[in-house]
Amino acid sequence: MKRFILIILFILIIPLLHIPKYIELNNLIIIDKIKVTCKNKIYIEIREIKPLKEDNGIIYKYKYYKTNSNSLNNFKTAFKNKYHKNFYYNKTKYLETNCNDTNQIKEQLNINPKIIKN
Amino acid sequence: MNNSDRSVSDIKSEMTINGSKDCFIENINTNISLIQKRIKKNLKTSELIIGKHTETRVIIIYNSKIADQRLIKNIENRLKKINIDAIIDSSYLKHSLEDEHNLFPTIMETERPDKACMAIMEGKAIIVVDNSPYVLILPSLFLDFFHTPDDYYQKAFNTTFIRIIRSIAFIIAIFLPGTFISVTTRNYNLIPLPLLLMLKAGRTFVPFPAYIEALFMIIAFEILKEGDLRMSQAASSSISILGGLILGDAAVAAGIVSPIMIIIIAISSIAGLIFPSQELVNTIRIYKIITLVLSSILGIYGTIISLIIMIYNILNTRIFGYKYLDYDKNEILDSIIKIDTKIRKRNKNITNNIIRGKYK
Repeated sequence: MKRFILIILFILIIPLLHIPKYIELNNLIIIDKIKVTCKNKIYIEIREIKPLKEDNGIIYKYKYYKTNSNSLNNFKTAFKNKYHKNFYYNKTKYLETNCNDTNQIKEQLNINPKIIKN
Repeated sequence: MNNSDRSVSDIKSEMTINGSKDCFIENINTNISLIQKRIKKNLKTSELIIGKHTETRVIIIYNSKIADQRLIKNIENRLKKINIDAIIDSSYLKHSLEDEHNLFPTIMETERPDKACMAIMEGKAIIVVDNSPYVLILPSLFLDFFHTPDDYYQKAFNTTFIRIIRSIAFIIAIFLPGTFISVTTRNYNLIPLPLLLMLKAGRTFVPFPAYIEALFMIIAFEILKEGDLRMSQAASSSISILGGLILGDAAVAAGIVSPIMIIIIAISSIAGLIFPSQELVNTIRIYKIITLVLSSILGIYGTIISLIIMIYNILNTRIFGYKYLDYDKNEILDSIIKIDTKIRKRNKNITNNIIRGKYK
């Protein structure tokens, strides 16, 4: 009886847990830099860091993705719809921007990088 | 001892650095004499004949001044209920002696006379079976499977250090593959960027999902281990070379597995092998796979749920009415840590005669 109750409890708790989506490392696009340019529209450029194994060690190559939007709120969805890839923003190290309010950008993008001013 | 019995030889499993090197053999009288050689007073036996065709002698040995008579009566009653055609080995008795079906072992088998005598002096009972070189120790608690006779032949500080290593090995053996799968497939936040990039570089050309790769490596390692055990000595070196080359080098070169996965599975498998008890090694293997499956499905929550299930299992297990994980103060002083006290005492939940004496 105790075991049965425990199993039911576990099954009920699972939907409450926010279980991250399963994405293989091969399919994960790790973003290390975001460039936000504020003009009449907001232009966003993200940089993917690609590690490649060589005989001497690991070398890093970069690839850029661009989009533009009227606001920063749905930029992640915009990139996903445009490129159909699994972008991972939580390891973003650099934010390059000419916009004034960098804290608002950090909040909206939900990242905590070093700031580079244009 | 008749001419068909082998002589008392050096022990082949349960190796220790210090202590005696003799081991039990298939002759029950020789085994009893090995115990009587060490414990000369207050040793009592209770004999039964079990097995309709084999009529195997089964002897319960205990110290009459230390062991709890209720435990002995309990063991006798359970053994008397056995109504079977043959008892070929002592492990045949485990099925009727264990309280419930449990992944964790509750009865220890040993080939070592010194280990059996230590158990008798703690108030436990041992069961010696004719034609079996393994005796059973009852009751065996969870932390007993982490102890070796070597622990009692060296300083308490050294023993504590090595037992901490064994505890870490236990956790690594069960949780390392599952945790690795969860942080490389779902919970990337938990690892720093340089490590994440290194792992990604290693997996670039691997065609399989991480959990399939891990399962493949675990199964391959188990096949290799099993082959090594069953093969003759002459062939076992070939198995080792084959395994090392093919599983290690060629599989990575072919891009079937990533090097980091081989390291993870190898560390976890080797960590699981350091325990002297084969039953605990089997349990570790099963929990490793359970953790791997749960971690693949639920990420780090799966690892935590697997930990909860394991702790629940340990806390709820009983052996002859004794708690599998005991909180007795004297037991704690000789658990993961070992503290030498002036007056040595026994576990009061197992025996009423708790005072062992003092060395100084």
